[in-house]
Amino acid sequence: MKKIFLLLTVFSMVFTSCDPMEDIYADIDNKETVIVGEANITLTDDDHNELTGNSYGNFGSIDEAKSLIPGFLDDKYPVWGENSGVKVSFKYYNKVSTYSENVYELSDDEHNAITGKTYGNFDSGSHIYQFVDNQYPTPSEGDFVSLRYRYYSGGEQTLTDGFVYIDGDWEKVKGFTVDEYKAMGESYPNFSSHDEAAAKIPVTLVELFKFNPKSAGDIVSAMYELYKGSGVTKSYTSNFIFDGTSFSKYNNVKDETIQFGHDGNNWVPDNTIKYTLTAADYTLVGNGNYGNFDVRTGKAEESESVRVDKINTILLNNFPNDAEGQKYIVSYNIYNGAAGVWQLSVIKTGGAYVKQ
Amino acid sequence: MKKFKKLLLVALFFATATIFGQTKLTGKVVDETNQPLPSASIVVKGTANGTSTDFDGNFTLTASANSGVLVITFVGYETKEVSFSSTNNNLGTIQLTEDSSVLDEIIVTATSFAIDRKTPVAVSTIKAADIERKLGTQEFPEILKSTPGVYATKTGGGFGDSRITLRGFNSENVAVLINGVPVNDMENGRVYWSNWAGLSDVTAAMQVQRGLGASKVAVPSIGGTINIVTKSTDVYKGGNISMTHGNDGYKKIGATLSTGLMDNGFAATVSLAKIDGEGYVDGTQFSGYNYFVNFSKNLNENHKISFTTFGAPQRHGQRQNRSTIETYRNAESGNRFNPDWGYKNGQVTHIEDNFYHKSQSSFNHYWTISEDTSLSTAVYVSYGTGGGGGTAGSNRDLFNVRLGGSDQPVNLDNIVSVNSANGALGSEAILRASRNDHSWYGALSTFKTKLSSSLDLVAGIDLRSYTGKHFREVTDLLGGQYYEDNSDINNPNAALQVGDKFSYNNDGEVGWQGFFTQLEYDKDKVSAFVSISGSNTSYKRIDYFQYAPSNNATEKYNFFGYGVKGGLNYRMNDTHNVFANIGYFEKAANFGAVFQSFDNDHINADAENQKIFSVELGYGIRSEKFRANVNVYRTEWNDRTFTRSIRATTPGAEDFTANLLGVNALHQGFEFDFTYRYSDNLTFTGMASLGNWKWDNDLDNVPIFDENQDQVDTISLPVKGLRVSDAAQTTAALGLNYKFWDKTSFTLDYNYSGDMYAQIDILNYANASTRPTDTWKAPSFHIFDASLRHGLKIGDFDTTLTARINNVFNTEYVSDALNGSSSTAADALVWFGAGRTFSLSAKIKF
Repeated sequence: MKKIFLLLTVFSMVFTSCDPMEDIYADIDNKETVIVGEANITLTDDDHNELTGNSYGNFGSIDEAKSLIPGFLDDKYPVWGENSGVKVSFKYYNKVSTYSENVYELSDDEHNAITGKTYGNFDSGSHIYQFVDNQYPTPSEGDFVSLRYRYYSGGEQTLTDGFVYIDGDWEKVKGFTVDEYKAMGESYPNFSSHDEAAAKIPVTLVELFKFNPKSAGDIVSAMYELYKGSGVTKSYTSNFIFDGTSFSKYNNVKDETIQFGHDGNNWVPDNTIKYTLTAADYTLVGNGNYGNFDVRTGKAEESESVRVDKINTILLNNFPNDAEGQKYIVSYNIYNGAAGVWQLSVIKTGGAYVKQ
Repeated sequence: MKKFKKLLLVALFFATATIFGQTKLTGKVVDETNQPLPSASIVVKGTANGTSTDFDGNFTLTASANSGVLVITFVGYETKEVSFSSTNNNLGTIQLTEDSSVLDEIIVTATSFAIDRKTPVAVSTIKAADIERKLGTQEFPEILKSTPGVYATKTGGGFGDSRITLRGFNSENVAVLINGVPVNDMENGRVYWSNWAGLSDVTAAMQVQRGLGASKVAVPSIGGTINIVTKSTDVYKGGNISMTHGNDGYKKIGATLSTGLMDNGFAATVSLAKIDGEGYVDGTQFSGYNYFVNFSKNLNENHKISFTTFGAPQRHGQRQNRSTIETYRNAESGNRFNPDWGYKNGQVTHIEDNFYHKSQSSFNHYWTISEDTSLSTAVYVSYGTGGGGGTAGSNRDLFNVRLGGSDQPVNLDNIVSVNSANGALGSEAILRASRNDHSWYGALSTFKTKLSSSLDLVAGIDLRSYTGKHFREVTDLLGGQYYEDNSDINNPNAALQVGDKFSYNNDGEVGWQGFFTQLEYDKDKVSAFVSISGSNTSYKRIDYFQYAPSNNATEKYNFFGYGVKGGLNYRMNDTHNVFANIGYFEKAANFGAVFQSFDNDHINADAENQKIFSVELGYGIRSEKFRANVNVYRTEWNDRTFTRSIRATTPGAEDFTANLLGVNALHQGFEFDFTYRYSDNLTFTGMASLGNWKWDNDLDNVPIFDENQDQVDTISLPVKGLRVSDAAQTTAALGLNYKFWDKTSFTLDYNYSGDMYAQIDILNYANASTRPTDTWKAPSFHIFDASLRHGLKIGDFDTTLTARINNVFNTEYVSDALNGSSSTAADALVWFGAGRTFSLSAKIKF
């Protein structure tokens, strides 16, 4: 009996300390587990203020946003690591200038001097620009004029537009016609107040751009008039931003969304798209039967270069318009004796996706 | 340890409570090492009055006569007769001698049971008592893990999902015979142990014959033969009920009833059991039944007939897919992690599961034609129905959506909502079963006659007819209205419901006509045999999906295999013997090698035989206290089936299959096992098995010629020197059996496994650019199992309590590994062996 317990004790001492998996587990445990996260976030006014140290509720520029947001993400997602991605929506200051000037009405002669005719109107889109060039031969950056002129196109129409000298060119800021003012409920072709203008113009802009739709985030300028008395009408430009369905007055702060990716050490602005291959994708490259890549020794997709080639074929097929430098992290099903999901990072280089 | 002490206390309590009954005749039956022999039969000669020994070998029997002779028999032992009288009613210890006559001689012949010191093969025999003691919640093949040359695992850990290799050969190359009838799958040669989950309850003896073995029929025994002999007729009337509880809800109840041999020569035994549990591995719940029925009748002195039917219908969740070690390490449930199950509507749902019922029924006729001549015939039928579950659909990625992280169960409710939202578009992800039903009819007849006093002739035939039905069926639409399938040309664009077939639907018909003949010599110190066997295998394929009914069947393709072997055993004296055997056989290609492309068009009618040459030397010692065997073997497995489909390049030539020769493996090794009886109370056992199993040569730019003798390709296979994978090449075991007192004993078993290389199909290295190195070598491991048995009486009934702990120290170890591309631990896909498991069972005899 004693012997048995002695034997048992010896056995226990020798073998409980003998763990076959010890070294392998140590290797695994030494590996840091990378948490990969994805999120879409929108910074609040307070977020902006805390990062910039002022109280505007926005960044001064996109560059400022790019330099400050990584720190914010470090704080918000302290454990996220490589291949994590966050789409951050934020605001930044993006001034679009406004102008005001009394309206100058062209005389018949001023029209005729350009056209060389006697109708007292213009009949080509370029005429008004010729007039501006002649009238203001040495403009400075930011010069603005408001012109009321007549334009013939099947019938004569009076137009009032603004012209701003920007980057060496006169750019037109559309004003409203009499009919358009009427449509906005004005019996005279002007508004009574700036507030009225701010309220009514967005409604008209939707109509105006019905067949020339704007994208979300587009900013358009419009010019309106207020009657100052004594026959003087003054023009004001104002900017409006489109949100995809409606316009609103632009207050020089723009929304922007930038994706940041974690490169293992830091959050960096990153255009990487995460993409998972679909059944159709596998079919496209001849793997439709099992919907995976067979990576076993001696099998078709054992070598990574074959997989990169097939992924290249798929991405070129699905996203032909991607720009050079577009990056993807592609998740794909594998069979290596068991079903699994692997990833490959590729970048479009020279018109093809190559391993990153 | 605390628990263990408690157990001891309980055992002590029961021991003091033991009551001994009063009877006329008492005695104890033991084997040559003085170990008790439970379940030995004791019959008063010339009567049907009998009993059997309890687990300690003790028996009591009331005889009606004042004097007479008791006949004591036990499977694997020489029958012994002992006289008794009213004054000599305590017969003391009766020792049986092993093996010279295992069962009836006629049955020994029919089942190819090897006999100690006579049959010249390396053999280990496990008796019913050891099975009862050691099985616990282990899988049936694991019983053999303490014998040389064996590596047995639970694979994924599902109920019955075990595997065994012999000398490094997997089940395709290991013959399994149950009562002499081969049960390896007729198409692929494999053995599915879950089919035989209940067999352990009714096994009389299980014998591993390593190497060529003693079987006379032509069987694929490159690695060896596992020979299972079930109990047949119980001589005594009675029965038992048993209950087992174990870890993870393991629960088994069973009962056996026997009429005993009645005066009219009729005997019946019925054994039933129900088993269920949660499984050690996550998502491997199981439930099943075992049944065994035997009717025997001695028609007269010369004719005995017997009908046996048994089976084990079961359903269990599987862990089909292996994971990396890192995955288990980081999983919430650790090594029990199973990726293949989920929840549906709050219920555990197995994505990978297995359900099967294979019944094996045989009618046996034993005919003693004369004193010198006998004929044993078995006509048998086996039906199998069932299959394995899995996934299907155009969007199986949905099965990657889990209830949380990647270590959590699959969210099947999500799939249900996706499929039901699809409405009239049907299911995009479903559960299916790959069915593999079969019907198998066979006849096996063995004739034996004495040519002279020392020379016997054995001859026989082995006929089999097999049809395997393979198809996939929808088992769960997972919320969708239907499942779309377009693989049946006779029913295109089908909208399928549960139970409908899809993907493939074909039959494999296999015919087998074999013969065997053997000369056995036995005189004085020498016994020897020489045997020849041959068999024709025919394959035919019928495809219901890819062809119209008018031309859906192929012709029959025939393949001939044969074998010749011989051996000699020399008994130097009562203590020492030496033996040698040598053999060569050719094994016909399997079904898959002929119909490689799963169609009726690409048929490899010229599939080559595999060629096996084996030679073995052994030595045995039998002394009162010490018994041991030593042997060395060399097995050459040549021309392993290696085929490649070759696309014709010259115009007009047809695609064809190239059959490449020269993929050879060499398995050599040394095996040793012993039993040492230190005292009446303490016995040691042990074994060591050192294998050296390697691939033996390279194929180097072998040219492939098409029908016009134009060279169209070359194939290289640079595998020389690579280790054979997927089995531990080095194993060792030590065991001790200590009897605390008469009815209470304790065993401790230690097992070592090492040099297991992660599995790879070396044929995948065809035309590899560099010469591959060995696959990942899994860490070697040491496992301890312990058991405690205690006998007591409950009323008049012998009761045995068995407590068993497997993997006492909860060692974590890799039991099965699939090699990854880096051949390291980092990307190997593995299954872990089970941690600590336990069971407690009670068996009450009446």
